[in-house]
Parts: sequence; C-alpha cells; structure tokens
Amino acid sequence: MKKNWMKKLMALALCGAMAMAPCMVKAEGEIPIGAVLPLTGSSTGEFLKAAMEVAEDIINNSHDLDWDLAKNEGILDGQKVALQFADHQASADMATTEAAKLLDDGVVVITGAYNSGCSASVATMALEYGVPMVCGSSSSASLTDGTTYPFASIFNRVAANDAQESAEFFEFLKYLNEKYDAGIEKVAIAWINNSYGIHADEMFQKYAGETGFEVVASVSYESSATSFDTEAAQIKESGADVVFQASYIGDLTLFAQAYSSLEFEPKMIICYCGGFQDASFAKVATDLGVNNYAGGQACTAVLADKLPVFSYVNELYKAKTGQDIDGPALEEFASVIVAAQAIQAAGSTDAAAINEVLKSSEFEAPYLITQKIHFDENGQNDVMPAVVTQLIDGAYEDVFPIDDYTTSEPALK
Amino acid sequence: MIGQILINGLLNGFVYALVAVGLSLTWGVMDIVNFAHGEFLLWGMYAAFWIWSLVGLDPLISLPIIVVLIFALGVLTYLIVIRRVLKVSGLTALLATFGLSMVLKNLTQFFWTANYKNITNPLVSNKSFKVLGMYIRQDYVVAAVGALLLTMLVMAFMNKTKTGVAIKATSMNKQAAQLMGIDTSRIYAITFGLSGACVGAAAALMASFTPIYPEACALYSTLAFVIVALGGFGNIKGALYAGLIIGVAEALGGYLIGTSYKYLVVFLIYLIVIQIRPRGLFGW
Amino acid sequence: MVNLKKYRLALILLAAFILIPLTIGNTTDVHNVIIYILIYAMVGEAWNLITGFTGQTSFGHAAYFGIGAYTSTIMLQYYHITPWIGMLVGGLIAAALAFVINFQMFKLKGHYFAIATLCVAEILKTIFSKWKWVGAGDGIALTPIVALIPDAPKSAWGKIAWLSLDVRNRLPFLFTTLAMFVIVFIVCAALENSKIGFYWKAIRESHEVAESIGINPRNYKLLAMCISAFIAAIGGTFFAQFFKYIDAITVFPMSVSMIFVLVTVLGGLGNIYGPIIGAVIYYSLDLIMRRLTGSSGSGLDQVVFGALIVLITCTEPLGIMGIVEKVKARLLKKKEGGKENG
Repeated sequence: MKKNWMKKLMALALCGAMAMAPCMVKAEGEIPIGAVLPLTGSSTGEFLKAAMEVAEDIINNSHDLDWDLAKNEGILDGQKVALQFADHQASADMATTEAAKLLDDGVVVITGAYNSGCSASVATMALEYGVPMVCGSSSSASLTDGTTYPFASIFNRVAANDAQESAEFFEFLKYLNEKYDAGIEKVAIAWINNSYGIHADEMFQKYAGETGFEVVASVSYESSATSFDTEAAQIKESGADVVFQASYIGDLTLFAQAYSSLEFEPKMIICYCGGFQDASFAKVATDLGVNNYAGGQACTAVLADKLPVFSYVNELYKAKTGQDIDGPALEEFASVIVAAQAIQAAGSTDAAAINEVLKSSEFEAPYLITQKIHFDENGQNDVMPAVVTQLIDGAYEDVFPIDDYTTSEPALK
Repeated sequence: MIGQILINGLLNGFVYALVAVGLSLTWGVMDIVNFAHGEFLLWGMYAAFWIWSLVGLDPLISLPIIVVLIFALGVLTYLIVIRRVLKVSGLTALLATFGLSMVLKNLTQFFWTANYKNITNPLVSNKSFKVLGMYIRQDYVVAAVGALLLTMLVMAFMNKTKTGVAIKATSMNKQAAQLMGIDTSRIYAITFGLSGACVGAAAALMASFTPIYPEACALYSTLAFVIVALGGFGNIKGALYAGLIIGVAEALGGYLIGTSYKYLVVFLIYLIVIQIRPRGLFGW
Repeated sequence: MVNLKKYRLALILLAAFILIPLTIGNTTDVHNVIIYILIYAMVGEAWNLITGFTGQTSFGHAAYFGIGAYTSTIMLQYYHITPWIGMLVGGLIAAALAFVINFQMFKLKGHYFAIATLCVAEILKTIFSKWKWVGAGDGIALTPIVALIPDAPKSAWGKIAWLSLDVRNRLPFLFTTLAMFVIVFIVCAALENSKIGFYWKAIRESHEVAESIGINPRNYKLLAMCISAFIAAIGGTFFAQFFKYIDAITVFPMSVSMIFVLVTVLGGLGNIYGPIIGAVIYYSLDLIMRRLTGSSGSGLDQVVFGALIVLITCTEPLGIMGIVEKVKARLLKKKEGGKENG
C-alpha cells in the first residue's frame, strides 16, 4: 500500500542518517579532541586542518627535537590523541550543531573555529557541556572581554585579540614617527561588516584616541560586494597617512588592486589578523609592486633559522600544503598542542581538571617567538603572541617590536 | 570625486547588464527561472582562469573559446535538465536549476578547492586613465566596452537573424510559433545556449580583475534577477538600461549613504520603480 | 467532524516522529535532523499557503522568518520575556509587515512580485546587519538558561517553560517543536478545506473567476500572506531557540528563503503534505551526504545532493506527493477495473 511505501521511505532515510552516527566512535586508548573549522565555503579551512594534523603528528609520534612533547609518543602514558574534524561552513548555526555532535561523541577538549562568530557558537555549546575550549586564531576581543559572552569559564584563546593588536599597531606607528620621522597623523580603517570587523574598528578607534592619532575615516563593507572601488575611493579621499584593514584574503586582494588603480600609496597599510597572513597575499603584493603592507602574525618563515622547533613544524606543514605556515594556522597548531599539554598536566581526561590546568598554568611553546602561552581569567593569552610583520619583496619580515627576532627595518616611502 | 564614482558605477553596470541579458533570454523567453545562472558565470570564470593558467592566454583573447564553452554548457543544461521540467510549474524548473546550481558550484570546490584564484598581470592592467582628476580603471573600461558591444550583438541577433526572430516569436506564443514551422525545442536549446554565451563573455571580461572562488558569483546572480525584473521581462534593451541604473545606484548609494548600504539602495530602487511601473521600466 | 481516515498519512507521520527519536533514532544527529525538518517544514507550510494555495510566488519568506527570530530573541535576551509570548509578538509584527508591504505589492504580477519579495528580505538583511540595537554584524547570542536564571529547575521539563534547548537531552525541545508543527498542520489543513481555502485556490486558477464568485482577490491574498507571515515568524522563533545565536546573514538571506521553496516544491507544491515530506527527504539526504563525505571539505556531499535534487525533479516534476497521487490514481483505476471485471 502506498502509505506503507511512504513510511518505509522515510524510515529508511532516517535509519540511514542514524547509521552514519557510529562512524565517529573513537578507538580504545585514544583521546578525542574536537575541531570545528570552516572546511568548505572558505579557503583557509584546509590550511588550518593541515596545521592541526601536524600538531597531532608531533604529539603522537616521536620526533627528534629538544622538546618533551615531541620526543614522546602520545600523552598520559602513550595514549594517542585523535582529532575529530567538523565543518561549520562559516555558518554560526552549523557551528552549533556540529559542535554539539562532537561534544556528544565525547571529545575531551574542543578547538576551532577561526571565524569569531562561529567560535562564539561553539563556545556557547561547550559551556553547556562543561568541556573546555581552546580557540586558536579568532581575533575578536569580544570573545574574551568577560561581558559579551557567558563562556569565560571554559574558553581559552591563543591568538592576540584585536585590542592587543591595536595597541601594538599604534605603538608601531609611534615608533615610526619617533625613529624615522614618518609624520603619521591621520589614520583610517576599512572593515568587513561582521564580528571580526566590528570589533577591530572599535579597538582601532579606541587606541587611536588614546595614542593621539586622528581618525579620518571608518568605512565598512559587505564581503559579498562585487567591487570595492567606492570604499577605496573614500579611504583615499580621507587623506589618511596610514590605513588599517580588517579584511579576509578575498576582499583584501580587491582592496589592494583598488588602491593600486587609484595610485593610492599610504605610508603603511596595516592589517588585522585575516587576509594579510594568507601566504597567497604575498604574491598579490609582489605583483602589484607594493611593499607597504604590514600586519600582526604569530611567527614568520623568515625566522626559521632562529627558532628550530618552528622551523621543523614549518617543514612538516609545507610537506602537507606546499606553502609556509602563516599566523592563523600556527595558532590552530598551538591550540591542539596546548590542549594536549593541559590533558597531560591534568593527568586525566576529566573536563574540570583540564579546565583548571588551562586557567592556571603557563604552557611551553617553543614554536612561538614568545616561547610560552598563558591564559588570563577571561581566557585571553596575555603573552602577546603576535609581532608586526611587513611584506617586503614578498617576504614577511619581522619589523616590530625591536628584539632578537627582528629581521628587518620597516620599509617606509 | 562623485564623477569618478558615477563612471565606475556605470562601467560596472555594463557588465551587470550583460549578465542580466543572459538571464533575460531564459526567463523572458522560456519563463524558466534559471537559478544556475550565477554558476554558469562561475564556470566561465574558472574556464578563463584555467586557460590562462595552462595555456597562457589572457581572458580577453580566450573570450571566444569561453563563449563557446558556456554556450555548450547552456545547451547541455537544456537537453539534460530543462527539457524534462518544461511542462510543469515554473517552480519545479526552479528547483531543478537550484539543484544544478549546487552541483556546479560545489564541483568547482571539489575540483579546485575554495582557494581564491587570481589572474595576475593581465593584458589590461588595473592602472587608471586619469581624466579630469578622475581615476578610471582601464580594465573596467575594457570590460564595459566589451559588455556593451556584446549586448548590442545579442540585440542585433534577436532582431535581424532568422533564429533570433524565431526566438522572439516562440517567447510570445509557443503554439503559434510551432504552427509557423518553428522547431521550438531547437529554439529553446539555442536560447539556453545563448544565455550561457552571454554569461561566458561576461566572465571572460571580468576574470582579470575579480577573484575566482566558488561563492564569487552569488551576488551577480541576485542582481541579475532584480535587473531583469526592473527592465521588464522579455526585454533585452530593458535589461541593458536597468543594468546601468543598478550599477550607478549601487555606486552612488554606497558613496552617499554608506558603503554597507550599497545594495539596500539597489533593492529599494526596484521596489519604488515597480510601484510606478508594475511591468518594469520597459516591460510589456 | 474531522474525517480521520483522510489523514491516515498524517497520523503515520506523527507516529514516526514520536517513535523514531525515542528508539532507533536516539542519537544527536537524528534529533538535530528532525528538529531542522520540523522547523523548516513549519515555515514551508506557511509558504505553501501563499504560493501553493493562492498562487502568489514569494521568494522572500526569510523576511518574516527573520523577524520572528529577532523579535523573540530580543524579548528574551533584553527583557527576559518568555519566547512563548515572543513568538506571538513576532508573528503579529511579521503579519503587520506583510500587510503593509503587500497592500501595494499585490498589484504586481507573478515574477515582478516574486522579485519584490526577494528585495524586501534583502533590505531587512542589510538593515539588521547595521542596526546596533539588534547587534548589527555581531548578531545576538542567547545566554544559556543556566546562566540567566540561576534558580531555574534543572529538570528537562522545567526548561521547556523557556522553550530552551536542554543540550544533554534534546527530546523536550523536539517534542515541543513537533507539537507546534502539528498545530500548524491542523491550521493549514483546516484553512485548505474551508471556504477561505476554496477562494484561495480559485484565485490561483484565475483572478477573473475569483472575482466572478464575488470576492475581492486582494483581500484574500492579503489574508493568506498575513497568516503565512505569522506562521513563518513562529518558525523563526523555534530556529532562534534551537541555535541560540542569530544574525542577519543567518536568518534573512535569499538562501534561507530558497530552503522554504525547495522543501515544499520537492515534497509537492500546493499539497498539505508537501513541506513535511520534502523537508524529511531534503534533510535526511543532506545529513547522509555530509556524514559520508562532508568532513573532508571537498564539497562532494553537496554535489551529490544537488544531483539528487535534479534527478528527483526531472523524473517527478510534481514532487514526491505527485508520485503518491499518481500511484493512488493507478490503484483506484485498478480497483474499478477489477470491479467491472469481477
């Protein structure tokens, strides 16, 4: 009968769906760590995943490095870590359901999600389960300001937030004025209209005010726009000496082309953590023949000689992806490493114990310039991990702060 | 400054118009909403990229090849998909083309990942002509001129050639056309192919300055729908003018009101105009 | 009295939705999928009223969906008012908006109207993405109940009062959504079989015919649109409560409007069972595809999924219910043929 036919069809469909669920069950003796990433709908996801897989490799297998975690196989007496990936497709609601799935499957720590809005969704879900989250590269300050969201108790973030970045950027501008007599007075910002951009703009305005620079334009845009000529024209018209960008790789490329076509070369174009760090931007800048792009990064390939662990990690990453590791990918790598270190220090897979460790310890990070990571009570890594790098002749040179790791002087017009 | 914005908007508008003309053919003539229109454009752009990447031909030179390729894609779409859903409600055809758009879009991701692909050092660079203190990008001008020429070519085809007239006849009254001896199935296939050709040309024109990635053409698609409706269904000249209006509105709106509101202005204009002229600017 | 026999399929579906999550489908994935199905089917039923029954194609139902989502979320997050009231307020606002906009817009014919509905949704999307009070580009995140009301009863059923998702056990939310869907279904079925439904279908066939019966098409179209908007807004509230986070690009874009179109046309446009059948097939397939191939990030799952949609529409343009009707007709013919020969 047709009714049974329909019922059978539906039952079949749902059975099929449910039958897929057991695919995610972990093997015995493995510690599952969840990772929610933008695997489709964005180009960055694959690179982040590769970085995390490198971390998994370092933890689980023995590597000839002067670092215990890498030398030993696995953690907690040889148990291997198993990364379980989920794709949130840069959509906040998908992030919620995928995170719920991983948490239900029993992941011990959850990481992700690159896009700040999605990280918030994942963290909110993790809060309900009481599972700690280590967020690698999301930069919105709102995630750790302690008031916007309720998940401070389980949330930890490796990357510099846009408040820290802004502070550093303006220090850099002051340095340029003092040492090189750059004459920078007016600043402007172009920002993408989402969680990342809104807070970058907020922080930009705040720190500009505090350090005495004049904000002459704040232009927001939608990522889906077909062109950014109007926006670029407005920025140029404002007469800014230095322009800030809160942009992802696609829009940044278009802006770069627009600025070039308008023959607009401000003294510096400083980028928040987003498109600038994507290695393909180096090519864009080289093709346009401009050297005035700078931005914050956790590390840069140019420093490989000075940091042997970083260099080793970079080689593993390059083997997978064909390009040098960039800031965000390194931060995702760090999030998995920190998760493993926390589990190791807690001595068990108990969520509360791991969380306790995350909130109170200092973590060894020989792959970063700063060599360590420490989270404050709101989850922010207060050991400022990012340095200002400038794209000079296609290489990300470390130009600020001035210390042993600086590789080049800033290039000013 | 405003002059520059206006001109940029206008140049943009010509490209929008070419994309819309393609949609106007299928929607106006066949009454089929082709949701995969944006993906045809996308495939045109990838075609342009790969021809440039593998053979070294600039998109402006490989334009004829791309036109032929996407023409073929359009015809194939008709033969495999559209033909079967013609008789039923328009919404079913819409669903079919929606499924097709998913397939096409995600195939590009499957084959070539979501990484942005850019054509660098194109034949016409992004340097600007400097006219009266305004910066007019060379690549935009070339794209606009190309789009205009091709649009006029399509209009001439529709008015002067036997096939073109047959297409118009079929769109007005299918049965009458059949009675006149027109093979409507063949006409439909050609119309779809032509729609693809327009979009392929637009893709070739844009490829040198637009990043190419799976989501690249979503907005062009939405705008094309609005433009076709604004111009009036079944009216190619209408699509051209509407495209220009939308391009200018986007630029001016963004400049005067705020760049985040660019498209709000576009959609609002549609709503206002359609109140005054319920069949679009030039519809019948 | 209600002819129960006529709604055999509905009862079977209801039984399935109650039994499956409790027995063979007692996993996160299945619970999530069923909730998705119910929410989108709810709005699909709403969409069916104006497009399926009355014949006015709307491509912008996300506008009402989004208004419902934002209204109840704002009321809950800023004013601590329960979503049960929030959804009614959202529904009323959506219906009011529908009335005001469509009063003029119904003058437009077919395609022009459809594009206009699309524009409305997109305009709302831009407004909400820049409006600071509703969070602009950040959106609004709903604080979990545990943080909001420290003394709230911890039991799952206690939390239903807030229509909140008890994450460890999605079942209360699932059944609440199911109950709401049943109510919507009954309302739509009642409307379909009433005089109003009859007039709607008359309008769909031809305006002139409708006028000749003595009704004003525009009034009935407005009625359809307002009821449709109201229900869509309720769906929006459930969506917001499920995901606990909304922003303009999650609830207003064309892609969301298209989901409502998709599930309804897939299942069968103009058929009361269309949205639910379509949603079941769509989301089950979506999940199966995603679990099979999705996490690799290759997009293959969407390719196969899209291909399946094309296949289904090409082989059966009237949607799944179209197949059912055909089978029904054939069986009826056989029966009659049998009777004649027997």
